[in-house]
Amino acid sequence: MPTDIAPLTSPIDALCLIHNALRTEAERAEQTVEHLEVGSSFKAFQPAFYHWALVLSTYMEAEERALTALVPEVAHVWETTADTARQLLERLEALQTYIQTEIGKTIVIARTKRQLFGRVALARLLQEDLLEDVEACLLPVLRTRLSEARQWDLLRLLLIDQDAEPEDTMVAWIAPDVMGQERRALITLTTRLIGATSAALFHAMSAP
Amino acid sequence: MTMDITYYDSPIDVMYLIHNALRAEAAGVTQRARQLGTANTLVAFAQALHQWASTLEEHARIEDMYMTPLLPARPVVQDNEVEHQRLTTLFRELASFLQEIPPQTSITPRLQRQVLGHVITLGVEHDNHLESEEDLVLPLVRQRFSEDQQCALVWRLVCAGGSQEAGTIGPWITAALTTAEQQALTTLLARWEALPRLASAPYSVVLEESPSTAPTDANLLKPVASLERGAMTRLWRGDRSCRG
Repeated sequence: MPTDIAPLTSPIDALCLIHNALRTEAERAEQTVEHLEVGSSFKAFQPAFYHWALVLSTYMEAEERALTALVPEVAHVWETTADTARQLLERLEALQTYIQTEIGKTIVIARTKRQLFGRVALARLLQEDLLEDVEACLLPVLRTRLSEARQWDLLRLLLIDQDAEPEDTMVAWIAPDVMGQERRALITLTTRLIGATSAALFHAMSAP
Repeated sequence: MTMDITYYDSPIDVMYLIHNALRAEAAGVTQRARQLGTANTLVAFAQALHQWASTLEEHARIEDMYMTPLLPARPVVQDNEVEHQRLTTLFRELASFLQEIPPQTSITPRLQRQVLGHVITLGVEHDNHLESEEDLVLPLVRQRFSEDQQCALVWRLVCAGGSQEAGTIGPWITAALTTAEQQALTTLLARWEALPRLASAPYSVVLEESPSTAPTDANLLKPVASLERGAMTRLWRGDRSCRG
């Protein structure tokens, strides 16, 4: 079983892989709006948005749940970011409502495209605040105060959902956005977390 | 930026080019906000923002003073004024935010995002407003203003930021327009005799033919300028029969 997780220095640094994937998802959603053509529909935007929203909301909820259950001694650090996380979820929900009730079935006009772009861009900025907070405040604490074994336990909760189909886990969702050395590290991490190679999971993680 | 002028038959159509220049100002400030980094201070950005804000504010002031009072009291006209106020409020909020930051503060990524968030919100409302005005208000101007009245209004708007006394095109307009748009502006300005000769320095957007009987801006606007704004509003709203 491979054990090298470089460029990550600690297992918990895998959070950064999720973060970078979320950054890519947000950028993709924003670019999708930019490329919408006036007169077309908003359908092209919806998959990009819903995938981003799915990964982001699952990550935030899983992180809160995992920290509370596994490492209550650092849960207070998560509280420093909880406000931003809550605002971000609200913003995603508002965006979803906007898509479903106001623009979903309409054709793209310059005004709705602008409005949508503004909403997506502001959500992306807020997401960056959250990720920055986690990386600056939470991650160093987890890295220094948790044993490697506990870091693996935490990662398992964040990356693998034992009750879900392999393609419906965080690791499968972010895999297409993780490249190069980080991709190899993600495969190494996942192999270790699930104990053996899961054909379905690695199929989901196959190179984009 | 693409040229997309729907109408070419009225002096007020120059407004499309002025709006394009405003959009270019907005895009320039947004680009600056995106590129703000730790090596920058906010001084240069604040100057660009001030240029955009003051240009738009002057543009809106002229419209509110010389255009809106002459239009019928319809919701779209009132909305236009409200949107001017909303934009002013957003600019002030951003200016206040910037003023609270010490001048030599290093720009952290978070600060950059805060500034960019303000600018994105402003940009969306700014472009929404210009589009609404083009779609809903300019047709009324075309319908309700005589050609001379339109020329007088255009004169004021085009000279905003330049010098009305010298008949100078606001340099921000020519600086913001593409070559094709500058040519279109020259063509449009040359088309109506009621528009006085306009010049632009250092940019050369000078009309080739000087209208022989061009009325002055002051003469054209005398009836408007000699009344208080509220009085104008009451006058026009109280006498709709005059406007057909």
